[in-house]
Amino acid sequence: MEGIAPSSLSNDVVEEIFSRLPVKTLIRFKPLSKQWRSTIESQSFAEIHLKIAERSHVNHPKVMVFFSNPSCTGNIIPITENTKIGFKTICSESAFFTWSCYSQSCDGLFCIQTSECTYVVNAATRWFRQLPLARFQILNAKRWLQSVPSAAFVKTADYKLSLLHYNSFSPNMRVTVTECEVFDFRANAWRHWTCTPSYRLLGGERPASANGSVYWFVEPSIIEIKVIAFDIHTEKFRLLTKIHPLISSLDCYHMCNLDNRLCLSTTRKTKDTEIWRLNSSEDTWEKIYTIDFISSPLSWVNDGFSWKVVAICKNKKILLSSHRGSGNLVIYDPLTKSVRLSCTHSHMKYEPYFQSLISHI
Amino acid sequence: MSKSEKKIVLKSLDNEAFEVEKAVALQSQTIWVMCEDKCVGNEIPLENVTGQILAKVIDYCKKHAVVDGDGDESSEELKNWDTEFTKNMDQSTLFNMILAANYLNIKSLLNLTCQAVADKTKTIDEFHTFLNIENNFTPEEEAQICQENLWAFDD
Repeated sequence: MEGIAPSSLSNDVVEEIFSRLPVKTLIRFKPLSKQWRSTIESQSFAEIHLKIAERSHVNHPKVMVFFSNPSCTGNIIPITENTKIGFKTICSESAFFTWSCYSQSCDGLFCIQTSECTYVVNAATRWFRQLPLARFQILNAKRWLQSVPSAAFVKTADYKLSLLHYNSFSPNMRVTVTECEVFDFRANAWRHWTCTPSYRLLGGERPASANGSVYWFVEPSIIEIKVIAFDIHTEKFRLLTKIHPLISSLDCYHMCNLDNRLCLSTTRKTKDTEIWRLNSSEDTWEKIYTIDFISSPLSWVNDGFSWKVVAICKNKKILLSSHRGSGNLVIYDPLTKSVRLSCTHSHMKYEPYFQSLISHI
Repeated sequence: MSKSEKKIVLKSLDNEAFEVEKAVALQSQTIWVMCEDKCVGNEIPLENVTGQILAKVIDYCKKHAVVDGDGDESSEELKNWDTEFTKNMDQSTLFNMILAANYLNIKSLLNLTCQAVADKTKTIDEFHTFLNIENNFTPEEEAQICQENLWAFDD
């Protein structure tokens, strides 16, 4: 009824609204009052905000865009996020302009490696932290950049970052081992393990983390690719006994995390791409999608068959990025086999991402 | 069950009466508790909700009572309906809807309206009328917080 003044909202309800606000708006709201400022900055509120952001990400996946050639002009911005209307810069910290690799996002955080250091970054709050050097970075001070390590975030009770590298720098060149170093944010220290079996890490493929473990591809022999997992809680390595379908170095394969489960996408020669999901007991794989290249317009885009799953939306559409560095991001609808080009830029790489308040880890 | 048992009358703050199906009204936990208690008759007075807002709440409950329990496609349709439902509400109506959803304890409506306000709000000023918040920062402290987060205030 008109004329009736609105009564004020209780703090609980205001918190309900605040937990749905974008990060930038929340930061603007800090001058509201001392109580609200401390709520907005609190860990517990960040967790509530995160849960809601996570849920909404399932329905409307967003991606972070990394420009792979930021040094060519002064104006290229390293970290942007796509919105409904296009791309919006959310962070342009000059320290990251020389990034060499980045991890998958974990709760809105990225690990970014530059030529000199390893950073953990929340682009939305602009918080970042420089990590101390890992053991192998110290041991191979001059050469570690040549073997770009693979970083993966794992969240169990705390956040941990794992770096994997295949150590071929040891004095005895015949003794090459795969090593895993884990950074514990709470302890502010690295711990180090030698992986057994010490198969060679597969170059170019990043690890994926899911369900408290880090998974990565190893190459026991040229015709056989396997997956090794490191459980962050028990600190044990395990070799996944079965990979179904069997993949060899002749295939195209990628791993990704969908809904906190490890998934593999595999493409054989010019056939369909299949997406397989590992079940929780890790002994069987279940095929969740088949992407039919031949009869879909995907084959028209001149990127061959090398597509990578970025995200699967709730409405079953799949976000795919081309793996060849042509920078194509497409939305594929398995029902209609139609494809919509979402973005194309030759220096762009895409990572699924949502904004969070999680900082100061 | 007789007709009178299946229907229920909701009475707004400004004495507007709405006869609705019980299944529709019982999406409100508050009404559900009232009915369980049997301390009220068939007519339930809702002292915190105006007729104008209650009509909208009932629209929402009717829509959600019908579609509940159906498959994926209808949930997609329901989502679109929800979007349309809040799309043209002004801030004042939305805040009153939030108050009503909170009072009537309809969780999904509370989520929907909170999200709608969150999507539309960009500045503190839009909020101030509805918040009973006393700014206990000194102007200097306030300026310092803004200064520390200058980038967030840049557009």
